[in-house]
Amino acid sequence: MNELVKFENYSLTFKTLYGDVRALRNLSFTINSGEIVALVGETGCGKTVTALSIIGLLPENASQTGKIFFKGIEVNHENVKRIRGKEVAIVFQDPTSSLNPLYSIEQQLVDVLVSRWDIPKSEAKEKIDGLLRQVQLFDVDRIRRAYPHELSGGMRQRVMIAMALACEPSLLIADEPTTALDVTVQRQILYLIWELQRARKFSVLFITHDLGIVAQLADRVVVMYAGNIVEMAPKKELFSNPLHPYTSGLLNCALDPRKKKLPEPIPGSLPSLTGLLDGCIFRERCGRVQNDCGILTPELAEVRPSHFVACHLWREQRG
Amino acid sequence: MVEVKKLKKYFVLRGKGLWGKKYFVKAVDDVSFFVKEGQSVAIVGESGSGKSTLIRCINGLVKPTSGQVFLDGESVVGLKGNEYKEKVAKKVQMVFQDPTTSLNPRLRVFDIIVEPVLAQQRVPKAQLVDLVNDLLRKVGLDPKLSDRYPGELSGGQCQRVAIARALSVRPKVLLLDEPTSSLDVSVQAQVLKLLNELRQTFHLTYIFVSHDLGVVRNVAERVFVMYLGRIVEIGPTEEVIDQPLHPYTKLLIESIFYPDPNVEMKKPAIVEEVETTMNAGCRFRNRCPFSTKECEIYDMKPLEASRDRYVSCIKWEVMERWSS
Repeated sequence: MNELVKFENYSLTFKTLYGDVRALRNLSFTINSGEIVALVGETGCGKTVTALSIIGLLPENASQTGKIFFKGIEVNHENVKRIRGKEVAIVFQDPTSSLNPLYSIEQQLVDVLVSRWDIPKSEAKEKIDGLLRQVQLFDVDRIRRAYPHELSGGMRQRVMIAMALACEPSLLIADEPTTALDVTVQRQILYLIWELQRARKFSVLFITHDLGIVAQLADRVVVMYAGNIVEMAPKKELFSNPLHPYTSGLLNCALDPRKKKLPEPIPGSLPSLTGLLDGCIFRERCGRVQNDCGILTPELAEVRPSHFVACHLWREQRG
Repeated sequence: MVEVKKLKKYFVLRGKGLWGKKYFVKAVDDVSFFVKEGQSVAIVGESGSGKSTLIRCINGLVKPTSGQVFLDGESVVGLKGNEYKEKVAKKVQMVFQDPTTSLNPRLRVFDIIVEPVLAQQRVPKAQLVDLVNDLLRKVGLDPKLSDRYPGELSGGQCQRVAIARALSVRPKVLLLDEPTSSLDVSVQAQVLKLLNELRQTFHLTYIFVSHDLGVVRNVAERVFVMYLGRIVEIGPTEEVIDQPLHPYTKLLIESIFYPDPNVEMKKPAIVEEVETTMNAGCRFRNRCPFSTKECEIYDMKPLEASRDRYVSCIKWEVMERWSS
């Protein structure tokens, strides 16, 4: 397995009227080719900006330090256009607002194909049938001519996936692609992504807060809290042996419909991202806080094979 | 405590153009049920199944097309003015899905919470202060927050304020319309725990709308499964989730993603597009793998499957044998 995307000490700060918001701090992680990495965390923990950083879709008030590599080459302002919409495609949360309501599905797909492959429009049109069938939209003639509002939410999201696949990306970013959909449709869309990934072997960066989805879809899980990576491990390892108190807290909050078990909430709420905090970002909500937690910022370290955690509790085992 | 009889709510829509043909969307279609005092009941279904419309009919936010709603044995449909305040608003209060839009951004927390009280009667200020402080403490907030605006609070705190507001008139019934679906998992857990505690303290009856069966399992004693305006299955929560009888309930349960990494990815059942204006026969028959000619004339009358379990499917016994 080779590294497709690599974050190296990547930090991101937004300059606002109320001070600097430290959205991401010292991220270091990789996405290997052919794997599904789930980025898990709660609202505001920096999942989406992490993904947007790869394709340079950040607002103007963002300032970044550290490096992001794509296929071994550092991503910068000049070469990001060669990646975005070509090597990396993204499916957003709400398909209603990410499709253009004024153009038919065919026109929108043609635009993507033309800009990606530099082919004439007539050739692009021929490819559309195949693309739509791939995402299990079989009523091709109707859907080509349809405008987004004439399709159901699930169909729109399938169109979005078709658009992403038209680019034949090596990385597909899926930013909560099913939160706006019903459960029965959600299952179909996620199965579609999973099946396509198995067949084509592209990588997926899957952003979600739903641990149920993570449990079935992901190969590896990255847990984020307030702009930091707190834990990173293969899926089964993470679920059976969570090391960071936040991860175990999250797992205790997840509801399993098969059993009645009242969730054990994590007390407190997210800290403010403005201002510089020394020490562990989770310490105010942590039940196992120690003296060091207020002084030293824990670093992400490998405490078991391919299981990384940023917590002082596991410092001794680092070896 | 709450009883609903043959409740219907049809919305009239027009087809294309100015003189387009009128047609109905049957949001709630011939629904009857009752909820005992102190019980917690969940209404489960997908978007468009009519679950929100149904609970809005109970507190009069939506006027039903026909049918009856009884609170404490009194019919309350169409009440207005003081009679409405006395018979409905005092007894039934609601918590909405998204606290950032259901709380007035220009009112302070204090004013938000006392608004329902003042709508009923005049109360001296000192008494109100005590009431607000007491309620805020009960929902796990610092009384100091009472002079803040909703915009200064987090989503979880806002939802707690919305719950405090609903409790301010000491209602007997709380209608909860997806109260946790806009919240993060850790906050959702806090709010669910709070709701369970409050039900004990205030002896409340909950009617809970949700699409998340994990949430339902933890707050509800009974479940109503709704599909396109009809209740298709009723029963105790554990039984419905563990042994669903209706094919739609089965489909819902197969769609769950369990937080368990050992469950393998399964191919989902193929589901056809939903037609919302279907009029006769079983509403689910187009998506149902077991449907036959009989389903086209079946009026979806609930059948008693066992004690306290009802299912609106003529095939349920056949399916039971088939799956076991």
